[in-house]
Amino acid sequence: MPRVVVTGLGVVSPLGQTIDVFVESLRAARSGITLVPSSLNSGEHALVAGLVPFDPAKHWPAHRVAQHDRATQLALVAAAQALAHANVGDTRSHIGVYWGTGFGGAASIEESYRLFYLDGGRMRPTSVVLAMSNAAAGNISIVNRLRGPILNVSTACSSSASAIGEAFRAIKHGYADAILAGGSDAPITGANLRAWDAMQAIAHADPVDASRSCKPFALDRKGIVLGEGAGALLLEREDHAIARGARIIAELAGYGNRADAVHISRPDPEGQAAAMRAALGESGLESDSIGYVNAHGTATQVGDVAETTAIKDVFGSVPPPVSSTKSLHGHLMGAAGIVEFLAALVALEHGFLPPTAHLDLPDPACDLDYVPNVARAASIDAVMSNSFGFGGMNAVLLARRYAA
Amino acid sequence: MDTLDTLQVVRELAAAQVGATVDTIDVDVTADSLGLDSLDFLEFLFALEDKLKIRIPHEAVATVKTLRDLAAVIDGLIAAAPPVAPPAAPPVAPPAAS
Repeated sequence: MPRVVVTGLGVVSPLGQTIDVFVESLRAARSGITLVPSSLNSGEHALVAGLVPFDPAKHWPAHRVAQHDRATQLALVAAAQALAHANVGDTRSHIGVYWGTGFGGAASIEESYRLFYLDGGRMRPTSVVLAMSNAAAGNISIVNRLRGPILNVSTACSSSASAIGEAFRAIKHGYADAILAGGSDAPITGANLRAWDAMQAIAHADPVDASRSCKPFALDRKGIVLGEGAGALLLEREDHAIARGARIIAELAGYGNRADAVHISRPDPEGQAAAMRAALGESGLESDSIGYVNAHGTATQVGDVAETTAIKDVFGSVPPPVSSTKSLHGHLMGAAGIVEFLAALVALEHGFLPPTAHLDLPDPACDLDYVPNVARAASIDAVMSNSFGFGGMNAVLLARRYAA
Repeated sequence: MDTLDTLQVVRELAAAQVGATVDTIDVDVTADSLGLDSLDFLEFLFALEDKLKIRIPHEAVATVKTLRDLAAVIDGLIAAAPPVAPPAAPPVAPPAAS
């Protein structure tokens, strides 16, 4: 069975709009979480989110900006970075696109309903193509002339992890030579924030410092902080990458996908553990060779305990260090899987473990080594990244240092 | 009140739709040759409706080939029914709370 390698990376996130800035933000534990402007929040509580100070006018003229939802815009920039980083050049028609999103064109959907209900039933002619879930995948393919297999994956918080995993399988089993895989979401809209708040799932702004509002695994954690962003990576079959002289960043070694089959929003440790075991089993790696786990770690009361339990179950008495970088960038929803997998690759390549920030008050029910507050130098050879979505959709990715 | 120069408004909005300058917009060629594909053309009509506060029924533009044709159709629509404000109530009530 051929090996699958990573040859290019791209990111547009609350921690930076290039990979270089993303790396430094993780190293410095710099939070990208800020107060949501009042234009998006008319409720009585101050809300926070991981926002990207992204200006589409810096990338496209006005008439092109109007053709894409913000989520697609973020996706296009991340995808372009990954393709450039991979030095793909003009030989690209064989490349596929496997993309994850939770919400699709969230802001466009909301604007469509505003027009429909409040402006006499009018609808922009591009309403459908702006809103549709597969808009990012389609536009990435069109703009970059990528004609390989194409798939849009929506499994809530594990969307882009699943997209990467399915791309991995497609390449391993001979359906593609190379696939641009990743995900995007720009779900920070007035109605979405209200919807999540109505579930009592999101943290209100920390009263002292809004940037510290996301506290995974901490005793004083208050819930999810939503975020926006996009990430991309180019996956290739090993021999294909070598033949064109590509720089190989890491090897994608395993993908585990298992359902909880328990509850539509409450996570369950058994399904999570099964996904982790499946990824390990496929990779052939022993659990003690995993040097770092990037947790799903959403900072909910139940979720952080469930994941802690699952990790202990899989790794036994000496689990590896685990951190949730959501503490710094927030929950990027459909982009969470890719951006967190990128954080895990950063640990592998740059020799430091990103921390779980804002972990000042430990919770006795969460007693792993979460790399609290400060990045930690570490030379490791394999990393795991967990993404667990509503509906009990668990996707786990494993990457390891590439050795020819 | 200034007399509406419909052709000029049409030209300006077509320029904005394709990201070109007004002087490059030839009002006597097909929309397609200006870089307006079918979806762009519909968006362009939507923008015209917003700007001129009129409704442009699809049937009215079925035979339009050039921007000059379009301006003539719009002048006809305005003469037949001058611009009005949009209706106060939506055509479909928002879903009632259950």
